[in-house]
Parts: sequence; structure tokens; C-alpha cells
Amino acid sequence: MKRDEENLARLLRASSPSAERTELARVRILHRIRSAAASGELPNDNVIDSRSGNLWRRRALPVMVASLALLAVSAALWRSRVSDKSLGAMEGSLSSIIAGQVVRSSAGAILHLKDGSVIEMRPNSELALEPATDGLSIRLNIGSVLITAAKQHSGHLYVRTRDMTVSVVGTVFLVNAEQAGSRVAVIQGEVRVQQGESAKKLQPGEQIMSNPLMQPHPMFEEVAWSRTAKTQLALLQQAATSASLPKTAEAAQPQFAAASIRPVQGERPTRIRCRGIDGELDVASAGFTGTGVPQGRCVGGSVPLLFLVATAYDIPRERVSGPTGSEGQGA
Amino acid sequence: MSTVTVSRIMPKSMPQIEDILREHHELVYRSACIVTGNPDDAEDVSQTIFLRLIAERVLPKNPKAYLYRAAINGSLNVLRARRRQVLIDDNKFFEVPNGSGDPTASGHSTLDDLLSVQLHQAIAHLSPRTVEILMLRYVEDLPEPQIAKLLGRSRGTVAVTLFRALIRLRKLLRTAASGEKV
Repeated sequence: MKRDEENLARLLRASSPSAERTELARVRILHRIRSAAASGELPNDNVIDSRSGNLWRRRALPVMVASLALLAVSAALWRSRVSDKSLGAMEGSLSSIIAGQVVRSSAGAILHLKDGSVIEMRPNSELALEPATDGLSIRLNIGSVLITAAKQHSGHLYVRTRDMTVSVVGTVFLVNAEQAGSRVAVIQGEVRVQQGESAKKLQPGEQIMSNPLMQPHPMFEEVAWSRTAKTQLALLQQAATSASLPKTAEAAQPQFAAASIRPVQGERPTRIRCRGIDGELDVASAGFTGTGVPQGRCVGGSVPLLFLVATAYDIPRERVSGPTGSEGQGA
Repeated sequence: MSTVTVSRIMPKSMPQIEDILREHHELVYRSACIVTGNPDDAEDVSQTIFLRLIAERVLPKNPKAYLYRAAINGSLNVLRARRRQVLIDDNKFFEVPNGSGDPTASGHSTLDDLLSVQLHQAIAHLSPRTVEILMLRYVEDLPEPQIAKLLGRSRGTVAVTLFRALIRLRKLLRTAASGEKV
């Protein structure tokens, strides 16, 4: 026997009771079992297991089997419900979501659509699923959703907010709907954002806001609430390394949609006024640097044209080139 | 000892159970003492085993094997239950110091006491079958072939079980020595 084994044997044997103690225990036990047998007070076995294994395993096993059976039944029920008229189902819930039904999540939720797409709802968000002519539409009333859209075999998946429509084929993106406007950020793939008559395609890492007053947020802040935030950021990083991406859609070079300039007679007070669906900006001074301009129509009176352009497109004046002395009205 | 079967006995079986108790109590009590390391727990385990014999009105065909295994299983349950409890460290607070004030004067070294506590905590992690083999080998001092015959296993299985049990115990004791909870 090795030394370890000798030590083990010694330690184990050291716990052996003395003959006297064993005899005393025997007498006590005999007395107790006689009393118990006479009174009929036989104990519930909570100390020993004379068969095999331990008590926990023996008691837990039936509970586990029952739980598994319940889970299997629930899954079957869930599948059957999802497969009929429902458009999807909420994770952890047996009830399915039908067309037009408003889903509110106070603590966040994950919805599984029939096509395999997954919608993660931020706490305090509200949406409804609606059938579209060529697919499915998610109407986001308020809050944020992170959508992992499955490949659409026939049709499209749309996300609609008050002022934007996003259409996707197979991608991961985030949509946020607030009182001030909507925000769309793409993590993977490509989405097409329609706002009024203008449409724009967004690439990974890009985001767009319906209201120019809304500031672009760093992507990690946008997805920080998600349970899969780490995965999403990893996806984003992967996309960023494979292609050099512009930071935001706003950073891209602006283009004129329409403009008209005409000379004015006489002195008029210097003024730039921008009016859009999301607010109004009235700048009395031509020295305005151009921040928080509502999207819509901008009119300047007696101001250098480049100031008007810089203000209207919310860009630094240094980026606008042209004769500084030009004056007029632009729209 | 490998076959543990029970058969129905007549209701008036108390004398039979008393006979079994007289014959096998020492084995049950000693085994429980060695596994739990606590005579009071061992007494509880023994008492419950015999009360259960009455309650279930069953008499094992091979009482010695049945009781031996029951003692080990019952003791392991006690050890595991103890592991889940938060114990004040330990009964040492309530011990009356011996006259000389020397902790080793009683004949037991404090190191052995500590090792014994840690060993019993470690044993709680082993399976009943492994503990049974350990007991037969290191307490009853039976050779491996005899253990294999008693348990109806091959000699190789017994040897491997012992080898793995020693490795496991060594690891658990090392963890305990480093101050981590076993």
C-alpha cells in the first residue's frame, strides 16, 4: 500500500467508534425502534436511501421527467399555434401573435416570426404585425426593435414607423421610433429606407434619422439594451473591417434636390428660415453655424448663398464652396 | 454483497428485526461513523435504517449486504445535506479544552482532525459505489479480488475505481487545503 493509501486508511479508521460507544448506541436504537413500533410512529425516510443513489436524485428525477414532458407538450402546442393563422409568437409564451394585434413590452421581449425572423423589443416598446401585399409589415409605434430578418423567399419584410418605411431581405438592423422622429441603424446586410418620396440604402454601420434635430448615436449605444449586444457589435466590427464604412448617412456629401435663386432689390433683414415636418428654425443672424435644421424647405433673405446652403444641409460652412458675396433666396 | 433484494415479511416481524439489529448493528454503526465522521449522525443513520425495515415490512435476503449499502448511502446523504448547511466553523467552539491546554495532548493531532473533516467533505463528492469500494479496501482491508467477487464486478473495475477515487480525493483535499470550499 502506498503512503497516500496508508494515510487514507488511517484517517478513515480513526473515525471508528469504540466498542463501548457502539454498544450504547445499539441499546438506544433498540429502545427507540421498540417504542416506535409499539406506537406506530414510524418515521418518513429522510436520512437514508437503502437502494442506490441519493435522495436528491431519486426525488428530482420524476420532477425532471414531468418538466420535460410539459415542455414537449408546450412546444408542440406552440408549433401548432404558430403554424395556423398566427404571424409569430413571443418567446416564453404559448400565445401566438395575430395580424393587427398590438404587442407591448414593458420589460423587453423576443418575437419569432413564422419566416424565421427574430424581433427583439426594447423595454417599453410597442409594435403590431400586419400582413403586407408582398410580405409582412411590422408597425413600430414607439420604442426600439432589433430585427434579425431571415432570407425572404417570396416577398419582403417591412418595418414602418410614423415617418419611415424600412424594407429588408436578410439583414440585422435596428429601428427606433420616438416622438421627435425615427432612427434606423444597420448592423449587417443592407436596408432600404423610404421617407416620403426619397429612398436611401443603408450599409452596415450607417444610420439615418428622419429628423435632423436628432443626433446620430454611436452604434454601441444603440444596441446596448439588447441581450445580443455583444454579438451585434462583433458583426458590426466584422463588417467594418471588410469595408471602410462612412460613419453615418448624414456625413455623406449632401446633394441638392432643388434650388432657386433670384436677386432681391433693396435692403432686407438678414434671415434664414427653415421649415419642415419636424420643426421650424428661424435664424435672424447669417452667422448661424448650422445645427439642428429641420428637414424640409429653407429660405434665406439677404444672406450669402453659401450660408444658406450650409444651414439648409446642416454642414460646416468650410465645406461649401462658392462666391461669398452672392446673395439671394434659395429653396 | 452484490445482490440486494428484499422479500415481504409477515407483519409480526419485530423479533426478526431485533435479531438483525443485534447481529449487524456494529457493521452499520461503524460504517456510518467512518463515512460521516460523526457518531451522532451515525446513530441517526443506523436508527433510521432499522426503523425503515419495520416501516416497509421488508426483510432483505442478504441483510449484511443490504444494511452495509444502506449505511453508506444514508451516511452520504447526511454528508451532502451537511454540505448545503452553513456551519459555524465548527464544533471546535463548543469543545472544552483539555487540562494541559495542549491540543495534541488528547492523542489526536489537530492536523489529523482538520484532514479528517476535509476528507469527509471530500467523500461526499463520491458515488455510493465508490465509497463502498473504498471502505472495503481501506477499512475492511479486503484485497481487490475479494472486493470484486463481493460486488460482482471485475477486478479491473475495482482497481480503476479505487485509482480514480484516490485521484479525486487528492484533488479535493488539495482544493480544501488552498482554502476554497470543497
